[in-house]
Amino acid sequence: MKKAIIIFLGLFLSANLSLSAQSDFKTYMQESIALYDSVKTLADYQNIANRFDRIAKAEKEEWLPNYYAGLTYVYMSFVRGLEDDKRDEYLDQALIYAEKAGEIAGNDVEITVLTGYIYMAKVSVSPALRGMTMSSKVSSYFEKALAMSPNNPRANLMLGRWKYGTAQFFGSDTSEPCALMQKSLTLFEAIGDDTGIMPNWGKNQAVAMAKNCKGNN
Amino acid sequence: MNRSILLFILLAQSLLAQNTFSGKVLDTKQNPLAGVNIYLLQSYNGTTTSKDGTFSLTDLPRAGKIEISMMGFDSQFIDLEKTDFQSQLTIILKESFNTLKAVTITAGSIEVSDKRQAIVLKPLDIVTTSGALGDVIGALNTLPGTSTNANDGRLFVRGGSADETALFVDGLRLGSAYGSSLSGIPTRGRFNPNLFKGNFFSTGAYSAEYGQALSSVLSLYSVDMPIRSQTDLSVSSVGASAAHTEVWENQSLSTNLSYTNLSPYMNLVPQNVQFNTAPQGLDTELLYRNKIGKNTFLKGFYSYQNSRLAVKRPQIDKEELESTSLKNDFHYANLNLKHNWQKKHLLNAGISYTNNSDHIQLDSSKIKANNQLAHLKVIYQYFPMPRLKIKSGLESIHENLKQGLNGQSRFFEQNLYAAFAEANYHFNSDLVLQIGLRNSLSQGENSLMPRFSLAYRLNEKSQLALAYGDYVQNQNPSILINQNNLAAASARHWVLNYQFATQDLTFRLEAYHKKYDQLLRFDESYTSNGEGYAQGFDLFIRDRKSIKNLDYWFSYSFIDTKRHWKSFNEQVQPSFAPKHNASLVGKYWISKLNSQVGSSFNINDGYTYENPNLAGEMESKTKAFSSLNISWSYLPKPNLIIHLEITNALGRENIFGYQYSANANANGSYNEMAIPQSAKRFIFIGIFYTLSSDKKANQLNNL
Repeated sequence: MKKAIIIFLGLFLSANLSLSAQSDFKTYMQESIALYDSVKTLADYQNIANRFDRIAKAEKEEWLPNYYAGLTYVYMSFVRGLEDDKRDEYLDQALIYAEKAGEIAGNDVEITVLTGYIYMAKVSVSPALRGMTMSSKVSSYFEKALAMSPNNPRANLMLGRWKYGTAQFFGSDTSEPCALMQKSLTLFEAIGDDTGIMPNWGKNQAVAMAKNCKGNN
Repeated sequence: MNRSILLFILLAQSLLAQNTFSGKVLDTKQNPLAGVNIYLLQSYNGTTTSKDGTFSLTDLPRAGKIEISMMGFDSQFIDLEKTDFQSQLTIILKESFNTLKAVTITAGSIEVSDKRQAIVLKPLDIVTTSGALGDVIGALNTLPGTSTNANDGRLFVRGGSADETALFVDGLRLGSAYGSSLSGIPTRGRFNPNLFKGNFFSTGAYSAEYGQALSSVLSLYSVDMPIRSQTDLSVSSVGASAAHTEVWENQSLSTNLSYTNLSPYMNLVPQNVQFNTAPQGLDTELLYRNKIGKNTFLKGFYSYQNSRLAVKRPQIDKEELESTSLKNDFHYANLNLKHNWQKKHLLNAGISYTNNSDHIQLDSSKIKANNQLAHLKVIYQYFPMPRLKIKSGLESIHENLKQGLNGQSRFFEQNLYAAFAEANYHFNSDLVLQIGLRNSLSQGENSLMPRFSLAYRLNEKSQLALAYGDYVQNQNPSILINQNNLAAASARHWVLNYQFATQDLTFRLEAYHKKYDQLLRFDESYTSNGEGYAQGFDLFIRDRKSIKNLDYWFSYSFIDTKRHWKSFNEQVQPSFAPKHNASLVGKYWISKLNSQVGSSFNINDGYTYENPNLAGEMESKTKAFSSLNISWSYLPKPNLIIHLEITNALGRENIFGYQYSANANANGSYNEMAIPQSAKRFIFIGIFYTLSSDKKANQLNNL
């Protein structure tokens, strides 16, 4: 009898733990994503990145924690006042997470956009040195993403942003990039704000860029 | 019963998680580390250290492992069973050894790459250096350690002749590395610089991997996998070219076809030399890559080139002009296989073949020369840990030369075998030692050559490096064909280097000493009992930050060299090694005009020559050489580049030496004739257009 109780307890406990695992994953992911709204400092970003890193290490079959960890390191590289070497270190770290996510999920549009975003950030560290040599890499990722999923708002937004920057640099026509960004804004609005734990960043950028386009025309 | 079970479960769960683990994380210098990730393995339970390095992790079970990790540091693991939860823990994280951040050996070598921030030259610089006219060699001639010989065009490094620099493509020898030319008419490097992602240029004390080069090594690395298919077209004042790269899933093929003909240009712009046939030629290049699986990479390269030119020039003792014509055919192929496994082993096997034929007609004499060179090389590299690299290899070179004069011919061939091994060990991020040994066997002559280098980082931005090496090089086949029992020439290098580098500023100072032995002598017959030395220092400064949008570099080389060689009776300063050499290169980006303007200035204190009217050997020196080059690149659209370049814009009449009569005139003196530049200036205008799915791609993307 005593033995039976112990077995029963054991079963109960383990069932309890594994039942909660999937919902824990979602909850903890959601909690972590929600933290982006209150970010103020580099340390806040580091805290978020560490959270995603922990989930990634515990859930080896999930690509999203790696994806978000990578994205967070991209954001960190944009924090003002950092030395170029530090920014590069963050972006190299971001690349490691993006690669891991890719190993789990295979060819995924979101990971492709993220990878392009990382290289775009690398160019921004030193545009004069890297612009000429790295730009094709950036656009090839965004183009690939758009080809994979023509209605992905982030693929449209990022390719639009990238092309807009170049068009401005050369003083050429911005109608093509503006159309891409306008499309991304429409897509963002159609999707709405709640996508659970799936990537949903970029709407604010799209709004701002669409405004820029209007201002110019 | 039900209730008691529930109570028990709650109790059990709370028993599982009740411990708190707190403390502080420091680095090895006792500074607190913020942002460290501390968590229970296989759970979400974790925390991040605050600004002062402190942390507190609650709800821990009795058993399990804690990981303490941070970007750039080695992780630490703590076993909870062995932990005293009462006390505050101090954890010290050690910075992880990062090959990218560790000190590298800089003595003697100049890496042209995008890999590092603090480098001397970027691949892009090769095509944007004014005066280089898109030639790799031309751009390298603005670097410290080189002497510009504008009437020759080849690389002359630290008092060494052009023969003393060996060229490699993807690690394999390139025979007949420069386009064939006639004396006094400058040559160029063989290949389109867009095919290469970078290069390694060593001006002394290079690694045991390289042999048969007394002074210098230039190794070109071809582009691995291009990003996208694209077509490049160009038309210029000297010809036209078309290139196409096709990229498939795991393969790619780059092709290049260019045709050069200077005759329309030479009809417009007067030349100092009378050309019967203006330089013209066809260049083709094919580069194939195949990624086989995850760990294997195959590369194949083939190039065929032909060129011809004919000149009529005055000779001091001849009434009539002397006519010379040259026809050249050149084939080069190499195949390279790389295979790595377990992230610890890298095997590299390659073979290259060069076949170069020159047909020269000198007045009525017909001279034929055919060189063949085959190089087989296998390298195995082993990386047992990040701080240790072991490289070893075997190679064999077969070389032959066939010469014909008016229907008569002669032949020479030689084989060379070599084995080498080298270990590169980082004691820590600030100290690296490399020790190598090379053994070569050729014509029954065995040479054992130690090589050694050491680099020490003084602080974050500066480092010191020291390198030493022994080198041998067989005498030139065109000499050995006359007499094949000549011992190889040898050299011993010492290099001491100081470098200060930030992202936008590089300062290098390098001192060297080179001792030559067994140089070629001619004294009734050929012997190998010449000797000599070269010593001096180089200075290099590159600055990208002081003036916005301006990128400039300055280099100065002091060369003190003398050699007892050829038919000289005493040690002399060779004509190709001026004592003072300097160059200044600048690039300025004007965004309003979508243009880059560039300029370069080369100067030296003149070339030595021998005047038979004076006593001594090589006792005279020409006036100083200088050349100001300017260029303007305009990008009206991202995929269109219009480029204008003028070399020796000021039209300075440079002199490279003098020819003297064989016999004295009536006054008892020898008549002289200056050896001038083949043209006062060179003007180049070109339009480069790129077609690809990405409208921004241009011909600079490949670099």
